[in-house]
Amino acid sequence: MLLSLSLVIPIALAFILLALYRRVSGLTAMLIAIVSIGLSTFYISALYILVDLPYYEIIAYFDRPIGTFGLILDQYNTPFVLAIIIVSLLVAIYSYPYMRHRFEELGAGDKAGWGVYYSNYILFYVSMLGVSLSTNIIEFYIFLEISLITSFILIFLYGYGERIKIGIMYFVWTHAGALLFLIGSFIYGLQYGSFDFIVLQNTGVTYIINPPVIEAIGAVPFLLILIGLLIKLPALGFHIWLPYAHAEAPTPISALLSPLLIGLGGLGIIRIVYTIFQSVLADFQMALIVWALLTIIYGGLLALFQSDFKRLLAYSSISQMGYMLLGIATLTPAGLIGAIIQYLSHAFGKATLFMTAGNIILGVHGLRDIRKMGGFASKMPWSATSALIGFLTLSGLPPSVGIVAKFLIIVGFSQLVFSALPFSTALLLILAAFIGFGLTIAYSFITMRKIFFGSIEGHNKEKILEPSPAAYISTLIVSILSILMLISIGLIINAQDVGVLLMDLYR
Amino acid sequence: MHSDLIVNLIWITPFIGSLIAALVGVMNKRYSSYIGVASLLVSAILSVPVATSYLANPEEPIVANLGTWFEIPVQDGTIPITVSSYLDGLSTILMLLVIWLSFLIGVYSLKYMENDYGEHRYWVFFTFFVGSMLLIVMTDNLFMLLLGWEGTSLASYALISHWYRDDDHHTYVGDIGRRSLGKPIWFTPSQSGVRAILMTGVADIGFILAVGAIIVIGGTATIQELDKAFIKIFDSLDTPVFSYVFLLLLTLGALAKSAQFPLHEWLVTAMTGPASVSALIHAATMVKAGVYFVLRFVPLIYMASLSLPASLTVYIDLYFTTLMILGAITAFMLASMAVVARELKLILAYSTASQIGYMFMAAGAIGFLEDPALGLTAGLSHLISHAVFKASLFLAAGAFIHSIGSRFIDEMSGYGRYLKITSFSFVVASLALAAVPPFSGFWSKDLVLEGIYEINRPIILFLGLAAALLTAFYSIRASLYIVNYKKPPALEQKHVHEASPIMYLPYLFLAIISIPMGVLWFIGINDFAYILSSSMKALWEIPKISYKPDLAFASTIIAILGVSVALIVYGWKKIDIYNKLSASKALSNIHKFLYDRWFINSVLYYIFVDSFSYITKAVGRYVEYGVVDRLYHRVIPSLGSILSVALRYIQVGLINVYLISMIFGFMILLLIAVWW
Repeated sequence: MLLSLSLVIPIALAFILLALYRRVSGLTAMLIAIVSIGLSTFYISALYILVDLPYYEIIAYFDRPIGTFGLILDQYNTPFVLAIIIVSLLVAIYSYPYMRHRFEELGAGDKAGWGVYYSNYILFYVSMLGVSLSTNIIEFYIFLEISLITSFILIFLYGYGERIKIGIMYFVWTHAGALLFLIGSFIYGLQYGSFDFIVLQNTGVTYIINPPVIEAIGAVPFLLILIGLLIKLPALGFHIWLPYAHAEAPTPISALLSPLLIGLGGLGIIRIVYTIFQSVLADFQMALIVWALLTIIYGGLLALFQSDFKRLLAYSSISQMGYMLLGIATLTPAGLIGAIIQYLSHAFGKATLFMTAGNIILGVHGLRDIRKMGGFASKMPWSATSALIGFLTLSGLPPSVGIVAKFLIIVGFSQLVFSALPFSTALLLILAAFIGFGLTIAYSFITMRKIFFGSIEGHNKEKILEPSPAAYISTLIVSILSILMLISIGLIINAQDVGVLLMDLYR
Repeated sequence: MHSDLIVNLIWITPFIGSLIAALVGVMNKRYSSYIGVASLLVSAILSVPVATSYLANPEEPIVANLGTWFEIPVQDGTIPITVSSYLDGLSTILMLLVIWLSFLIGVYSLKYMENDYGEHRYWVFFTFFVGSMLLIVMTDNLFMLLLGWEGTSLASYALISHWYRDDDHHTYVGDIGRRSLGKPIWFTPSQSGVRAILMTGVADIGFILAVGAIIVIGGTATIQELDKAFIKIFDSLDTPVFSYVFLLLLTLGALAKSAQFPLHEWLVTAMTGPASVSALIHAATMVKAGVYFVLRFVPLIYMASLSLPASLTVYIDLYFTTLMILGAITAFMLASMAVVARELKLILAYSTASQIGYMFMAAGAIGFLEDPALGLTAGLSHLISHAVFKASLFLAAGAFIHSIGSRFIDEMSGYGRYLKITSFSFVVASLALAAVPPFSGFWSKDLVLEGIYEINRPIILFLGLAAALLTAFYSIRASLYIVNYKKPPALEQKHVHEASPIMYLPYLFLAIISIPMGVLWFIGINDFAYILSSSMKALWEIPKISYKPDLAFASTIIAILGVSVALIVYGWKKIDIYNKLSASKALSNIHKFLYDRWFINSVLYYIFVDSFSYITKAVGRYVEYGVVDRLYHRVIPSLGSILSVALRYIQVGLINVYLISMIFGFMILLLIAVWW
């Protein structure tokens, strides 16, 4: 009941907001958004405290082959849910000063589209929550689709640059991915007779691992689903839509797209590919490891190359998603938990950094070009602090939660490299890991220096200011949460029985 | 008297101090400095009863466990990450050293950093730094060790680039505008910070990879059980040579952190931070973390190697030899750079890396010594004596630079007479660095060299002795420039004044105790070795250490030789070095070679920085925008539009075209149907 409520109430409030359209002021709309996200936060945290996980709830039965639409909260998706709720809540506050500025730029009046913005925002949030809670491929797809449509609308209406063209590009690309995913799912689901990937049985919640039908249908549905999700993630080669969309989206939306949405592709891989197609996945393991490492390196190189701050962050997201893919592809319990914590850590780190980019846009007249920045730490100390914590989170250094993510992924990677591989292959992978992880540290701290250190030159010093408190304080809170997450990581990681998921592989 | 909480509070308190300093500093940045020093004092006081209760019974290590923080899933169960401390001889001694030295440096900073624009930030990271270092030496869990390890990386980054505005050339390092092999060899604070975190951060990846292997293959995260874990890992590795690579990866982080060749470049430019930060990095924290790491891990590797087949021990011996060679090269190379350096703090930085080289030599010797505990004792002895006199030297240097207003020793000439106490401390500490008997530096360095002598490695011994000669020379050279060279211009005297007592008391104290420490060392070295080894009885017998007169005599002669050459050149004859240098081409080339740090900085830039910036540009311009972007956003869409245009040619409304196509289509279908 509580999980359903945490989805239904925000949806209802979103439609009320949409109906109000222009008759609602920005502040009211923001409050409604906070209430709706806050209520679902309340329900889910109540559940988390009161009930033993995994907790399963049914929302609808359908005839075979569709199966049951359920909602689940278990040890694999709690970090996802946590990140989605907290980041969305704080970005909702951050949106208010930012979008007021953006509406002025767009030439809209005082009440310009607050209802539209926040209703789409809430729906976007709900859809991401739904994706992470779902137990059925069709349900997963429907929620994913809603998130794509709402985020498309937000980019299309409020984005920067050639926002219409980029919005359509984003829409086409992500639908190409979604379509491949859907075709693959149909091939599998119609053969198997159900689209459920988690079912409730008498013995409790059961993950469907290697159903017998997999051998009969071969690798084609696996590849279709995997590639569909890798476009979402995105992996190297399918990444080209991301820098455009994430750089040109209005910054609060970038702070949801990049930290929260794309990682759900990783959740899809964990939920569907990792379990149902586990035996096939094991055959493709080396290819995925190499692909993940190349994604990390390529994203890192391109992040170093960029001079636009938001584009840099977009490429860094590609690199970070490579970390996540690497953790999954090690096919080890530690790597899996590492990938999950990587989502959490990247969510906080990247949200902080996009919000910092927004603070600079607000505070220094829409400035995004890093070459024109420098020395901002003296004028924007809070944003600089947040940015430093954000970069620490990305590069996996304490006191941020990033160190746990990076460490667990490397533990999984080490199991592969030091026990299962011949010397020469292992050396190459180690070298690639050095380059990939090293590039993350490099672009993080080089960018930090370029933006915040040095002297302020070529700027009117009086005109560089922290933006409104609502903006920089919410940024700071997100960054500090990354530290709190490290301290409370024992409550977030539930390492018991993770190995059970991989039993088939090691039998 | 100790409880688990109190023992752990020793390292937790500085973190709490850091947090509170961060909060109260928002109101008034001066409060943050009081909070910072207070937290260090609390932790230092706590450390005393804990240490005494351990020393009362040194055969029983103190284990203080606060519980499990989180668990790492492995195939069959989980491995707990515990918040716990483990105090044996090595960690107790280091804990005392770290916290009390940091406290003294903290007291100095109270005055030194007063009214600085980053005072608030300084104290947040200063206490964080001390907490991280204490965590490194006190914990028995590999993840916690890693946490402290990376914590020191962060804190050193923040403190090295403390004066991030780059607006004061006194904070730079190197001659501004100077280039070597076409690469700039001077650095601003913000550059040095990035260099530090990049070099140590990238090297740490090897460390994390190896720790990951220990946890998941060795099946433990506890340091005491590492020897068994090493055996399991060596078993699972593909070829014997892989075990050598594994050990190198494991030690890579320590090599970078302790600034051993070729990863020493970050340390020598880390001078851009405040002098107190340099003292902290060089004496109490950061670089000593790497030494602690090898002193802790090498005995365990040695223990594991005892039960391994000969095919493997060859590679493990190779690893020990590698440690010694790297240490010897660093000791000699960096000492040779210090001979020509002009910046006071830079001389001291070179000397740190060089002295740490001795400690690595001692650690490597553990693998070969008949009495391996000698290596451990020697390494730790030198760590302690070096920490004390180096802290004093850096703090005094900070006072000189601040008061005289220059960071170059040739611009400080003669000003020492206005800072008598500071000069006195500096000279005494320099004598300890020069390893003149009976100062502490002599005994500990001699012990290291004795270890090398015993295992008969002539080249390494030679490099060590040569470095000792150079050390004696450059440390006296630096002192002579300051205290007695020529009278300074009278005009500027009024600015130059003695430091305040809050500043000079710490470094005066540290300088003076290097004399009693030296005496104590000579008398008490066996007690020291007993404390150190008694908690490692499983590993070896308690060593019996005696100084060998022949080697002690040789190193005395070398120290006296170095000191007298410096005295003659800079004190008595007062030779104008720079004129002599410019007169001879060969000499000035050698000078340039040494002054530009053997060109290593430039070579590293050519190999790593240039190549990556080239690759970045190439990938960005040609692969991303040239191929990928063009393929997806030009080629595929234009194929679509070509197809669309082509199809439009058919659909032009001419009935006869439609008819012909219909007939053709019908025939094709017919053909297919017939052939099927």
